[in-house]
Amino acid sequence: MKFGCSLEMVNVLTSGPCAFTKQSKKFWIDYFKYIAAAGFQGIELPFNCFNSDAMAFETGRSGIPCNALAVASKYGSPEQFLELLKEFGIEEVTSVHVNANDAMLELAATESPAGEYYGLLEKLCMESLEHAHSLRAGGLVVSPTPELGWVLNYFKDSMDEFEEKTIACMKKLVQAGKEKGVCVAIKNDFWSCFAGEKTKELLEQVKEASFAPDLAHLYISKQPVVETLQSCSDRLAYVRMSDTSFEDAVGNYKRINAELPVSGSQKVFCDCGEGSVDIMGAMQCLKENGYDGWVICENKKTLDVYRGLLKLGWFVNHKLAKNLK
Amino acid sequence: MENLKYSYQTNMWGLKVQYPKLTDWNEWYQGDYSNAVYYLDWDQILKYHVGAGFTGIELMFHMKPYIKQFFGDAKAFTEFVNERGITEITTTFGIAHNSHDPSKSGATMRELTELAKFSQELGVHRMTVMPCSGYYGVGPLDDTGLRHAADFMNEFGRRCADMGIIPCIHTEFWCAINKYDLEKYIEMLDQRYVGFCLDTAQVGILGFDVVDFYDKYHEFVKFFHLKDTTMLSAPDEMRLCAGAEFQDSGDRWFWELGAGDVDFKGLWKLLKKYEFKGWMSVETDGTPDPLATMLLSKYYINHELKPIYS
Repeated sequence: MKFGCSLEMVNVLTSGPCAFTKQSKKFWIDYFKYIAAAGFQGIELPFNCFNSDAMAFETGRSGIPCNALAVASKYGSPEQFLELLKEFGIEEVTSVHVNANDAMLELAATESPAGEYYGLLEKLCMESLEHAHSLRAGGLVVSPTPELGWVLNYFKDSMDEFEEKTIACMKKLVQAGKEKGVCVAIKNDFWSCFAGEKTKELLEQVKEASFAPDLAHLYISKQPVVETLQSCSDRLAYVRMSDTSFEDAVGNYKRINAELPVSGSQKVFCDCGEGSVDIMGAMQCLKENGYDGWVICENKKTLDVYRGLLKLGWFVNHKLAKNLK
Repeated sequence: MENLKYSYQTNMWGLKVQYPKLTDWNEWYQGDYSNAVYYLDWDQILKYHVGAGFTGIELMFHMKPYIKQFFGDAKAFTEFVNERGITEITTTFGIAHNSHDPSKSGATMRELTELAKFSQELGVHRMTVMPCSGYYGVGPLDDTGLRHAADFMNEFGRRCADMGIIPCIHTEFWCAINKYDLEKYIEMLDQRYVGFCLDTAQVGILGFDVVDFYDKYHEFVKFFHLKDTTMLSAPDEMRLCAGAEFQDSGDRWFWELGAGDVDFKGLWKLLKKYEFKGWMSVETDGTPDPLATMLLSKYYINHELKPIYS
């Protein structure tokens, strides 16, 4: 079991002091060093190839390594990017995370017809796979659907077709991944069309995909974390260690922007070890089952990315190391 | 009644302000004990503007989907900001990607027209528009490309006129229309439908003397972006490279008014001479401390510029 760090821990879409600094190559160069200093030797990258999203706006402008153009224009080439990481003490890009919600945000921002969503999803998935392959990442972690709120907004009367086409896209992606030697792992999200019990249905349909369980999302979906890891032990890859105490009392899972509630409790995620997820039990389960893959750690939306990284390093290297039997 | 009214471009706060309104500060503050909670929602950030004396705000194009998602429609957002003391959303900012290439510019025209309609619903009377894509990978434009880009903007201006909006050219120092062809491009524009947003730092970084520029084009200038810079007449290799707006070193291009080399006092003398009346927007993206920057800029306006013209 190896522990990597997700760059999505840096919420570049937030506001406040130094928000713009996070766009610069200088920030990321420094942060890679800090990640290594915190004891992580692998990183997972976010992916976005669309212009309308604020983060990916005219990609290549900023130092966020979120797609091929950004890597090429700011770091030279994938090879040079990997060399740079190694120089700082990061041995590999473990995986790339692609989120179908970004295809939906592109659709909404460009006010395109609903039917164009599927083409956008395929473009997003295939480009992210190519990006992962170019960076010699072993895995592509996929959030397979947009938020349920968006899907109901666009596809309320054709949900069966939506699910069928999503499954078809995932199967195609898995096949393409096999050809490139990239493991495609489906991630659960509490706001997904395949959240909760339906995650298993999706995995049954896309048999050759691995499962990248996100612990905090499992908790919010009221799925038993340890039992889920146990029951899917033969398909696990890129397990996401995250934490929360969020209770979705107002049905936020079916709203647009589910991770930014406007009513009820608004803080969805918390730093690892400070929430209600049985992380220790989950890691113990993985260890006992001989899991030898990556655990991708993320203090999602932590308010101070430097402090959050240090706390995460402490949690993994001290708390887990000391207490795992 | 003062001649000049001050607005602020809200991109200073980051790419997105996360929440419309926090319902429980302690949910964030308890256990964190940092100032992060002060920057998470529009409710507070709008109040900072008004408290500092800025009663207008400017929005980026990517706020359009955000507003629709969180507020339902443009009017609800305008009511939200009005309730907090913002009297006008002065401008929306858009980009005329690929305006030089008719095979691609149709999609951009549709998107910008939708942004104009949205702006009209917000109560906005002017837009600031980057006139083409970024320079890297696109520039320099040949005469045909420049002509297409100008035709595009003239057509967009005509569409906007029907909505009571004037698009104002906003010349980023990293734009495909750059130092060597900006004035040629301006000559091609139909000034009945298109205006100019004089961004003091962008125009200065390009290599123009800001005061001379305003003297020459004062009738064409319909709006201002006020920001300072220490990088007047920056060399080509700094302006035209990939991702030039975000320097790899992390250095800033833009500073608080009075903290750089732009001759604001000279500009204010011309504002007085030409009796400019209307909104001006302070824009200071890249600052590490938005609140301090906002207050420093307003201090400079109040104490150094207002005595010249207000």
